[in-house]
Amino acid sequence: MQSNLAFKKSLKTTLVKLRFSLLLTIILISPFGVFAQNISIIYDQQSPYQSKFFNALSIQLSAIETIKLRIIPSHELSTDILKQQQAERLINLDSNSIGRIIALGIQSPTIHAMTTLANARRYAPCLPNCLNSLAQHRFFVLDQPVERQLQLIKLISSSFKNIGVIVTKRSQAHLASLRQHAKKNQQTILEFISDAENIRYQIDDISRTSDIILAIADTDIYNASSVSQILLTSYRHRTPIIGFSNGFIKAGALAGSVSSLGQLVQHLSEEIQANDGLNTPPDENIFYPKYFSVLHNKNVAKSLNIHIPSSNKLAHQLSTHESLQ
Amino acid sequence: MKAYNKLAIKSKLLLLGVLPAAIVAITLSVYFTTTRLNDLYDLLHQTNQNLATSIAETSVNAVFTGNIEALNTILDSYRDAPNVLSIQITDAIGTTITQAHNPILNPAASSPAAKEIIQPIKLKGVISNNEFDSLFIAKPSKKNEIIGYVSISIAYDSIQRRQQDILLNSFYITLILLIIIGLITQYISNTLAKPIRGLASNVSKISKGRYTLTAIEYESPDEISTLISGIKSMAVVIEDHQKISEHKVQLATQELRLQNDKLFSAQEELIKAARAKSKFVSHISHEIRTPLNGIIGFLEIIKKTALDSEQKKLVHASLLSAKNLHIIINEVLDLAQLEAGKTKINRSDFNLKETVENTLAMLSVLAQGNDVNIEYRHDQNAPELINQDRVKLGQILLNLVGNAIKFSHNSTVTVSLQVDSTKKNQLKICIQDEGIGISERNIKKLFHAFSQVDEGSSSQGTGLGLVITKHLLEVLNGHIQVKSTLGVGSVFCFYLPFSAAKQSALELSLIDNNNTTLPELGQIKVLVADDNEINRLLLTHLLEEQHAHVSCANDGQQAVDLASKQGFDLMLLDLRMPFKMGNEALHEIRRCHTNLNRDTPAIAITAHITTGEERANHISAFDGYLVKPIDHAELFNLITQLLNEHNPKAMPFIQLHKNNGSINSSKVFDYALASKSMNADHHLMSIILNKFFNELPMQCEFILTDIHQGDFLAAAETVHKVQGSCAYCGTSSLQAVARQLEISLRNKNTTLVHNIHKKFIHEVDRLLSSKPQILHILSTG
Repeated sequence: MQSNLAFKKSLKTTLVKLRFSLLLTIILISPFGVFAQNISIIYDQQSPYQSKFFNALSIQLSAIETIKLRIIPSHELSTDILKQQQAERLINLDSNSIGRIIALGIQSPTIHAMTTLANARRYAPCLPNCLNSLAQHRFFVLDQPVERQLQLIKLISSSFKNIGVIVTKRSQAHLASLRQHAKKNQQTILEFISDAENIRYQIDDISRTSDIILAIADTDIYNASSVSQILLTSYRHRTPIIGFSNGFIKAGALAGSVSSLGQLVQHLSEEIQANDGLNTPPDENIFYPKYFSVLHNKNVAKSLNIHIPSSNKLAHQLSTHESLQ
Repeated sequence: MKAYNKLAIKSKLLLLGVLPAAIVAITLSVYFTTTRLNDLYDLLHQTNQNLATSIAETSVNAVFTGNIEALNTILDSYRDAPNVLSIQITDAIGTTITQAHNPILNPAASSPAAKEIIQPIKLKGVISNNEFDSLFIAKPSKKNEIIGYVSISIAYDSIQRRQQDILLNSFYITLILLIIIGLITQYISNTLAKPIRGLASNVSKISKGRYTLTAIEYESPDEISTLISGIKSMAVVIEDHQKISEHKVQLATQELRLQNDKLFSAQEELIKAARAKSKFVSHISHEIRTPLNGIIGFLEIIKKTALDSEQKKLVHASLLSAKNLHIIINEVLDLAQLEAGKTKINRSDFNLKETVENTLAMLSVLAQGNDVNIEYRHDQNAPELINQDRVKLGQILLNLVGNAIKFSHNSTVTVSLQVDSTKKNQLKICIQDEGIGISERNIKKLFHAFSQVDEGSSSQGTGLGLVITKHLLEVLNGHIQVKSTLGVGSVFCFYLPFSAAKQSALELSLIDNNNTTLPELGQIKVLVADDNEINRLLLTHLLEEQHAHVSCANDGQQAVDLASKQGFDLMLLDLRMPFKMGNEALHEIRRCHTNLNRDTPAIAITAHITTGEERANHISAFDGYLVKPIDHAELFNLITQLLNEHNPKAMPFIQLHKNNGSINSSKVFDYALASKSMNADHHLMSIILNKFFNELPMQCEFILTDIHQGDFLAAAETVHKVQGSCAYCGTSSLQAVARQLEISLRNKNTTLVHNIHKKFIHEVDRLLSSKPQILHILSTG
């Protein structure tokens, strides 16, 4: 039984590889390549999720004849290779290479995917609207858009008026948007700004004073070490947290809107196709995942005695709400 | 090891049981105690480590959020934990966030042996399988993992108390175990040691010859049991052997006793024979000396008559022979004394050549009889005069030359005298004969007493000659050598040391001439008492020659009777006389106050050559004494002294010998005088002096009693005895006082008696107080 399973798994892996090789060969030897748009994808081949993302993206774009995908391993990234590939557009999947790509001063439109807003702001503090050298750089962030999150809170419980948010200097820029959208939803953002070292001492206060805490993807605040303690502290005060990732929600966040890899690939693919016209400039240097799911932690909800609608319903409501917007 | 060896078997067994058990018990006790203590410490540490871990884990959130209240709550719940002194929580850089102290344990009162356990407070990362999440939630950095520390101070007081309890308990348990083991071992050692002690006791009994063994109760059929039965059997065997041996010894003893009885009988016979011999010697001396005295006396008288030259020569030879005979008899009779080393040496200056020639002349008759020619070779380098005992030299020569003549016939006996080449003051005199010779075997027996007599070859002599000669030479520090070849002849060489003469030849000749002149006695009256007619005649003749009036008495009683009838100027009393001994007669004469001769000087004449006490008792009452045969010169010399010089009141006793005149009256004890007077060895002197010292207090008592009772004469007699003893014992100072006391007693001068008696008592005390020293002198020689 076990050997059958192993065999099937092995067979599946081999088929995937064969398919990927076949696809790549088709792309490279396509006679239409001469007329297609050259898109170089930079990613760290050692990173499984980047490779996964690349594969998914390649498959999405393979049907499009006008797009010719080329690969630049992140460790081989240089001006020469870019010139050699005559990349007309760059898709960077490696968040660690953002700095280097910006430093290269490449004028080709570049989309940096697979990064958080806080991380993007490290290289592009000008976000969401950048000019000059960064004007051609767009960041497809993993963070869910603020209005979606605030709306989710509202959908969960309209009593959650006071929304606690902790930010560091890195994520402080989030606040303006938050305040703006909160106001629309008649919500109040309780800001807690601190440096990374002392941020944890704010947890107790924010948990005590807030109705709900909205977590912002800032690793200085929310990392693997601190998450559990933050959750513990908040729940000591029976204050739920809205998380930003699947793991976070599993760890104890009440709920959160989350985009899966497929949804992100879909969105990015659409974005690439939508902007295939080189003359179409982006309105903002940042864009958020369009497709998403809503996840919630039933145990936490039960513990906090919070009744939450089903994830799908919430997702639907959010989608409906966004479409109406 | 030495101490172990000294232990009894029981102690050894006890030690054998207890020591290993003690070692095991102590080792185990130490091991388990140490292990237990280590476990205790480990447990404490583990417990507290767990506590620290628990606190750290509990405190993570409170430390993370800086919730001091929560921390305090946590610490409050832990601070009562046993052995925890304090709990402190610090942040990552060590700043104290909060702390709690154990309310029961006072940290200040705790022992310094406290320990601090520090446990880091770590954040636990959320593990997510979704790698995609890592984009949102970065992995925790190590730097951020530790957010604080929990420090727990542990008190060791309780554990130390526990440790003490454990140690104490271990000690008690070990002690109890040892006692139990000791008791068990003692029981076992008793069980084993008891029969062994019994065995030892039985062996000891056997070694002491007691074979009735103590029964040993031992039931176990082991080696000890075998040993018990073995010793029992051994005792039986030994006892049997012992009985056999005892029987044999008994038989041997019986035999020995019989032999001893025989030996005792033989010894008694010998003693009896010796006594008989002594008695015989004593008797014969008197019997031989008396006629010899007559011979010598009459020969001297004849010598003084008108004789032709041939007669003079014969008389002279006879006189010499008689005198030598007298000497030889003396020596023979003194053999016992000689062998006992009591021979008296009389050294004087004499003419060497003349002495030798005179001696040889005495043997001329014998030589002629054997047709032997005596040839004398005199060393011209030899001194004319020497100082040595002339008589003994003559006797040695007489013996050796006489022997040579006796065993030679029709040959020459050569006598050679020379001064020893190696020692200048030593004469070497050799007597060589051409006689029968002596075998080598006989040479060895030659100087053994009576050896010649035993061999039956003494037809020509007494057999004592050579023995006496050897003794004489030894006395004179000389020695003798013999070389002889059977049938060829013998050479006897003797070596005699001598001293240089103190007088010249002229002085010596003057002395000799003086000696020949007898004093003129004048018309003095002399009482001669002797039971021997010849002696009476001799003495009468001698005294009358010097114009004295002589009255004779045949026995002691006659002497007393004569003395009571008429006064004499001098009394010569033989000691041994019928009816009354000489001394008894004199005592009677002097005891009587009215006796005319109470103060008359008296001379004892004795043939006895006894020495010491006996002589002292016999002659102590006399004023002087002469020994038979009477030497004319000595007789007249004594008479002259008594008549001319003797004051009986001042000096009641005159001794014949020259040194007797030199009494040192200040001396408590004069060793030289005592030695001379007693003529005895130290042992005998000690006996005599002891007797004297023992008798003295009693005699003093008698004297005092007599004086108090007014019996002055009786007291005088006792004092006289004391005085006589003093003269003999060399106690001159007491002698002088005793003499004065006797005179005062005899004069009945009461005042004087009391005064002198005091002095006498004082001297007695003085003497007796010196007794230990005197006896010590004698004992040390």
